Amino acid sequence: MKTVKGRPSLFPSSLQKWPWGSILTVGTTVAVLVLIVNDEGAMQWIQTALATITAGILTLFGHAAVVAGSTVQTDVFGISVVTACTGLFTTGLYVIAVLAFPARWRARAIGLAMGIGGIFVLNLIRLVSLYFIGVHFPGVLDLAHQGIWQAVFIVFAVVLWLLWAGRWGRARRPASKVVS
Amino acid sequence: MRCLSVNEKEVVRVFERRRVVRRIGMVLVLGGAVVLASLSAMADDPCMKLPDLWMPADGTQGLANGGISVQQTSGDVCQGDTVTITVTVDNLSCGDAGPFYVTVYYDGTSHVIGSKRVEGLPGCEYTTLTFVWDTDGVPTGEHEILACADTGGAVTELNESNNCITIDEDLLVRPNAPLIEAEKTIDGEWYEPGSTVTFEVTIWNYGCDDQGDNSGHEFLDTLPDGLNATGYATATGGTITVDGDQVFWDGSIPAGGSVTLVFKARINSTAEDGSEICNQGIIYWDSDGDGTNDASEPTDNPGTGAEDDPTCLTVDIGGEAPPLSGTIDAPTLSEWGAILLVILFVGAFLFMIRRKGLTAA
Repeated sequence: MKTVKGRPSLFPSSLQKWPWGSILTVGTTVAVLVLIVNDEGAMQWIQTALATITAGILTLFGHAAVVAGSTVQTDVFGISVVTACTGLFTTGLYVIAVLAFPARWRARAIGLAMGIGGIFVLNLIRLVSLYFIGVHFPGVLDLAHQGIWQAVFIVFAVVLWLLWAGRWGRARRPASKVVS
Repeated sequence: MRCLSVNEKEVVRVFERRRVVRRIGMVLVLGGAVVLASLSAMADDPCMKLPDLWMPADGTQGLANGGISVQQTSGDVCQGDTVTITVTVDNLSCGDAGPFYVTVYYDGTSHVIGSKRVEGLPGCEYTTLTFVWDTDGVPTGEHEILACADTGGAVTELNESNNCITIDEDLLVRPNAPLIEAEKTIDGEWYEPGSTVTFEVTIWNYGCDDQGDNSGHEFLDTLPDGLNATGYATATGGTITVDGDQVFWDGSIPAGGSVTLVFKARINSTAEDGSEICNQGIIYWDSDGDGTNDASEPTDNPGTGAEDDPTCLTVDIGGEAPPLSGTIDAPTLSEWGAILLVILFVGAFLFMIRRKGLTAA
């Protein structure tokens, strides 16, 4: 009898088993994110909230900051919180990755809380630090803004997801033994 | 002694004549050279020039012996007080100037403050003169001070057009009564319906007498349609009150002092985009010092060149805030950053899938 050996798949069988559910989840998440991004009111609310919290933190540090629209401004410097400043793209990717990865819903909830909260806090730190760099070290503002903070953001999101997936991601169930 | 023949005598005469001509020529050449050299020397000697009197601007350095010019007054005065005016006249050329007069005027050459005679000014030298001006009877207000050298035209100069100077700062002769001026400003230039605007009014008393807290209000501002007082009002002195859409202030301002009023108003939520809202406050003051407010003056918008003009704002619905210097957009990721993040996430995802699959196996 001829035995046909199947070629080893690039993906383990677990991936082959669940793509429909994952595709649906990812698709739904992407749709929601696209709706949010295209909803001017929702984006304005997110931007204003971020600007308001940033202004509050700056005020705590002794820089009387006010918010005009979605711009945080003081007498000496200002940061305009546009859509791309909200970290929504990074958060969205992270959310998709969490929802698409095989895990229990409770674990996914933990992952979402970690990621959304972590990226939000990191973005606040980024905005506040960019303000102080702009005021005190304007010569390195571009480097900090376009180089360092971008790299930190990317590494943070990916490493956070890896930690979550490593800790809470569900392993493939071992094949059940058939007892004859 | 041998006598010369006729031919020999003729030869000697010719030689004698030539020698005389040669000497005359030499004398002429030498004389010409001397004259030319003298003329040249005279032309190069600057001290052969005419004098040039001028009034160097205040603070001009490099006068003789390291001197610095002074063209100043002692400052604003109350009517009847004296003003000291100091002027410097310099002789720019090296030609000496004979006696001349220096005269100081206010508001043109028809109002003479005083004239002084200078007995002469050697070339390249300067002199500083002081005039004392009694302002009794001089009209109150700002006056332009003009100083001129050689007002009698006694000195022939290389340049006759640089003999006068107007002193940089006008002199204010203040009345012996209150003299009130006021400005009104508004914060920012971006106003949406429903937003709050802040007005600041500064009232100065330039007079030499205190403005008292007389009967009636010293300041009154009636807000126009489109603005509603919020009730917020502060003053650095006196009492400010908001009553409906009227803001008024009562108080005194000492001579030379000022008071600042701040109040807020809200733009009507129904204000139309692009509509302009203007208004002015009115100051009431005592122009003759008799204890009664008999004069009034509208506030001025210092943001324009016009005098006593209203302060305005333009309603802007959905407008962008004016760009601030030093404001940046702060996107978290550039396009390449986003692409890199997607690639890393996909890679990490596959890595974890394989890892979990292998672990389970």
